[in-house]
Amino acid sequence: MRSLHPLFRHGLIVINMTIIRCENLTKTYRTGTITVDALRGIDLTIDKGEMVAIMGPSGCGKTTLLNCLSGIDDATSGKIYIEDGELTAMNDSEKTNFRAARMGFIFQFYNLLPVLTAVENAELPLLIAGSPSDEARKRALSLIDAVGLSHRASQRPASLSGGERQRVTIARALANTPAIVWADEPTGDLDKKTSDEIVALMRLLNRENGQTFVIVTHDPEVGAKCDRIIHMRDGNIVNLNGKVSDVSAEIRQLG
Amino acid sequence: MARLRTAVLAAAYVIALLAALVLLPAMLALTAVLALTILFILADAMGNRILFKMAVRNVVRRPGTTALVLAGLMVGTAIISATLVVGDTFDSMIVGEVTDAYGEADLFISGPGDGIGMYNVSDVASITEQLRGIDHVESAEWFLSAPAGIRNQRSELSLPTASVYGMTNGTVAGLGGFRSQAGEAIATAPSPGHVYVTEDLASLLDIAAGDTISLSAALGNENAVMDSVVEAIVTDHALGGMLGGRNAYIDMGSAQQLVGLEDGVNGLAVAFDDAARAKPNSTRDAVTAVLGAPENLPLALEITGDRALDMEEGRESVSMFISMFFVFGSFSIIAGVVLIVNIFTMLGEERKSEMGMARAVGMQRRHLRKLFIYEGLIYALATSAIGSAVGLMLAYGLITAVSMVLDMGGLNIAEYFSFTMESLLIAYLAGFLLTMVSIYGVTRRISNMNIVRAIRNIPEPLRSRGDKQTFRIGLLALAGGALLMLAGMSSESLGMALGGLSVMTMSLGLIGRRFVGDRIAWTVAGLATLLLWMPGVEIFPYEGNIEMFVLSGVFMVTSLLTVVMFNSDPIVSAITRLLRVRGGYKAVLKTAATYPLRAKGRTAMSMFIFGLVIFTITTLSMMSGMLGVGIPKMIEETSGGYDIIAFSWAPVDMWNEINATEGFVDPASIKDIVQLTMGGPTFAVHPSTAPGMEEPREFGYNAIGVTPPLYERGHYPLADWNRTLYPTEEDVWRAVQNDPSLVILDGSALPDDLSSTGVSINVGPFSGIALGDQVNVSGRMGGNHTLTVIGFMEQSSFSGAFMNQGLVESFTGMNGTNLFMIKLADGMDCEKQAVLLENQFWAQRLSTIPISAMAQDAVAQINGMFDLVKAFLAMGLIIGITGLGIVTIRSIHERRVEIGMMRAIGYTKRMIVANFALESSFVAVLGILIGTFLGIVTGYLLWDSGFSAMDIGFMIPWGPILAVGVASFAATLLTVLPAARGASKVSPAEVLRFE
Repeated sequence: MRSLHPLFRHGLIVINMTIIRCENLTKTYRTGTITVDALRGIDLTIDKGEMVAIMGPSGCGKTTLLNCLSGIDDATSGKIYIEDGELTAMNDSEKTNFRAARMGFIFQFYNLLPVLTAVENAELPLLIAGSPSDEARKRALSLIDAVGLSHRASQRPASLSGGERQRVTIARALANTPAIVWADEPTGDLDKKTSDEIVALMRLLNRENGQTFVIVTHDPEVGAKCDRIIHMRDGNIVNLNGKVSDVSAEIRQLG
Repeated sequence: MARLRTAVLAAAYVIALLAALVLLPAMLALTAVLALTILFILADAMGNRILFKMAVRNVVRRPGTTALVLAGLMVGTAIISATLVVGDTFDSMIVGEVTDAYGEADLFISGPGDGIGMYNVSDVASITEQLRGIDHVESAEWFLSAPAGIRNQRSELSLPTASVYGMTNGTVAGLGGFRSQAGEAIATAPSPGHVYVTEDLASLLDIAAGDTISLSAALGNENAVMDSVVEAIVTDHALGGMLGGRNAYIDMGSAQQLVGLEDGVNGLAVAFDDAARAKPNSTRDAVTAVLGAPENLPLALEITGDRALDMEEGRESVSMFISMFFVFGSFSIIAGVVLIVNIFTMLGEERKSEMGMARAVGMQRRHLRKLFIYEGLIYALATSAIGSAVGLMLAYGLITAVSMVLDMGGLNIAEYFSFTMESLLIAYLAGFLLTMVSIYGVTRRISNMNIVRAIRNIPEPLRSRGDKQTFRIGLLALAGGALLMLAGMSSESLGMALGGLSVMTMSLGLIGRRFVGDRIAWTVAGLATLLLWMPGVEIFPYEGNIEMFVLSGVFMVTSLLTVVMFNSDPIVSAITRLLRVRGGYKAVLKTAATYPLRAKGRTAMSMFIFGLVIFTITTLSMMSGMLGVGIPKMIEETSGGYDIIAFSWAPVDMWNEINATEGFVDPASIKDIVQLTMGGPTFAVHPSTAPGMEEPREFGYNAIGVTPPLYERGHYPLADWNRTLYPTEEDVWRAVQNDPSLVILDGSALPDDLSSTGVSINVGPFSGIALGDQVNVSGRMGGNHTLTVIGFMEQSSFSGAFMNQGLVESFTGMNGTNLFMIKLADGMDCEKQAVLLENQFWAQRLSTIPISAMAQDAVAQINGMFDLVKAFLAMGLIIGITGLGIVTIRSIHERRVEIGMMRAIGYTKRMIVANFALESSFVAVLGILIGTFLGIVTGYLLWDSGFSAMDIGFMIPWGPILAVGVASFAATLLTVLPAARGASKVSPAEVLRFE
């Protein structure tokens, strides 16, 4: 857990550290006559600079929560605040622009554009944000270098290994210097060694740049490396500050 | 067991197929091929019922997709069907016209001089009996024919170019008789003082039964006119349509009186029985033998009309026209095949996961192939039938359009619309086989997928540089191309030779990529192939036909496309740099341009269709543009600055007649008339007096008398003359005018070394002749003269040997002028004045050529014809646009997850729409640019090899070219926008969640 400056600890300096906040968040899916309550009134806050894991058994609503908090999906009810701006009050276009400017995404299956090279994939968010081409290229190259892939910058995803692709995804996610990086099972498609490398990279970037990382994961080892774990079950948050052992025990219990 | 069963079935199929092709007549063989193929597949399906059930269910489970597939697959069949039905219609027209022209006759026989020579009935009695005695000859009947001017006294309408026939009752009966408009048979000749006229003539001159018409059979100096009462209007068919159609029939005695020769006849019609009509050669030979018998030789009779030969020649000329249609239609057929491949690849991609699953649980690759083939059979059966029917309707539309656009001398081809079951069956079979072969090709690729990649829907990896299979295919292509080239060289076929060489150069890409990588290898291959087809490059000294147009299009487009596709990075860079867009649309431009150029296979297919069709349309636009300017110019040159050229059969002093008598023509409407004499003597050239001639030649040609007004007031510049003897052009004309031993020839006789491009433009019978050479000329009225060539005219359309006026009169026996160059007063309607002139001088059978109207008509006809062909080609463009739409839908479906990701990282809905719309537009634009560029290059090639020699200037008609390009682009955008909008509605949460 991060340690606070004494002035903050004593409440003498009060700075709003919360970057993500949601109140009574619900999400319901309806398919014909079948109704599924994926989220049942979630309340949580995440502070700036935290690296938080969201864990729980399959179907507990982890990815739904991530999707709603990031604005990819619309909540059924409740409010979401990102950096004091109310996300739930924005229309689709505003949310999209907000995501482009302030958020980065890391997906399980990378979702790189197969026809673009590594550096071209990395610079895409910068071009979306309207950066001049040469500036975007310069920044993308520096990010590619930061993730250790300078020698593969001009390769297309098909020529990269799983780990290398995920590094490119990370570079892309950081292109616009986002406030928040959302990662959905970032190590789900990787072997152990590569997973460790990726998580270590994310940790390093989190510490160096102060970006908030929210990671949905099944992997207890990933969870263990985060500042805290948000433990979910059946659309509810069971523990906002859970331990890996609690999660593992639940998984064992469920067989 | 199953494999053995399939092998046995396949063997039986092949044997039965070969037997059918060898043993059966054509139609039955085609039907057998179709039936055997269907039976083979169905028999195989009965041993794989579950697969067949799956195939049937795949067809019915998504009606929208099935409808799309049916629409796409039937295009090729529709075009083949349309082309064959157009051919049937033209064939029907030829048969109809020849039948009408010959009636019941199979041969027409007459003397020398185009039938003007007369015989006495008694002189030809013996030969007539000999001919009647030949086996299979049913009748041999004499008649008297003469060109005639005809005037309807009631309507005052006249026609100078009709024909009058004198007949006996025996002639009428022997040649099948007439039919009245009411359908009644008329078996006798008209009574004296009466006349039958054909429907065509009656309609033209507003003739009704009971009208009195005047006939003038002006021959030589005679100007006989005879009035007759119309006894009946007969149909234009059989005897009524004989040898022309605008005919008047009178009794033999009246006809002989009209031409001034008692007991005179000049034409013999010989009719065969049905057996000889079907196989006329031996009977024709027997007739020829009789005509050539020693006792008959003095009559100098010869066959001047042969029904069977005319039918054959007519069919040959039609087959060229049909070939041209098929050639242009083949572009659309190629587009249709590409569309079939696209559609079935799309179906395969859509079902990749389920097929991967099927393979995982035990289905073999051959089962997957069978699944698609059974499905393909259902589609092929349906689409071939639909396509054949659609093709029939398309042909009807085309024929109707052709009849509206083309002036075929009063012929309405739409009346002859017809089709044969054979054509429809061929179209059905061709479409069926085309569909099945295309599907089979695609299924081989689909069935070779990797199971894991299929289940996980991961794309197949690109083939590495060292890929052996690609290298082997390259070597095979090289060998195949070499064989084709050698075959072409041995048969002197430019298409095969150059096509084979092109295949060899393209195979360099497949071979070379192993050593130097894709980009260099394919760039070299593409450029080398393109170079083979560029203007100025001649590898093989052979001639090609219209198939060269297809081959040049296919290879040029393919090669330039290859170069573009493998050098896409600079293009993408240039586009993103040059086009300044705001905000996030930079990213849109990047992905929209990159995707098509890096997904080479499907992009190349779409671009190929656009490129090929636009190439053809651009080339045709260039041809019609140049002809549209060049032909009026040529016609203008022919006119010498005059508005109307007229010719009469009897001499007339036109200027005096118009000014002295009150007729149809107002003297104030005429500014100037140059009056000349023209005849048609026989010319002979011999190598001894014209060293440039390879062999002696004898032919009829116009002889035109030169008078001062021709060269003083007309504008007929000379291209070459003896400058030593005659300092100026006027000196040359004056010399010819005064000296009957000299002659000036028209431009068609120009020797080779005056042609600027090295292409021979000697198209006339005087080709090979030079200044100073001598020609012999002899006329019908006797006399034999030797003339020395002292000049050549620039223009070559107004054919004639220009010589001393008196000499021409001596050939023709004409004492006066019969050729008129007329300049109208300003503001006069050329066509209207021409009609008035013909009416005023109908008795002299004056026929007119209104020059400016002729130029306008010629341009209108050329443009109309080219527009028709372009419309035919536009079908290919529609297929291309449809194909692009399908590719876009496929692309969106395949990239749903990517779209979700793009939305997640900041692409707005509008940006997604723009992305996909731009992708497709980009493909269309590149294809259009490639096609336009190559079309202009080919247009230049055509100009350089032909039009320039005809003095037609090079031009690029930007208007029509840009119009087609812009319209194609707009149509593409409209087609893909709905799909692009659908893409923007993809929910990122949904697609990313189900990963």
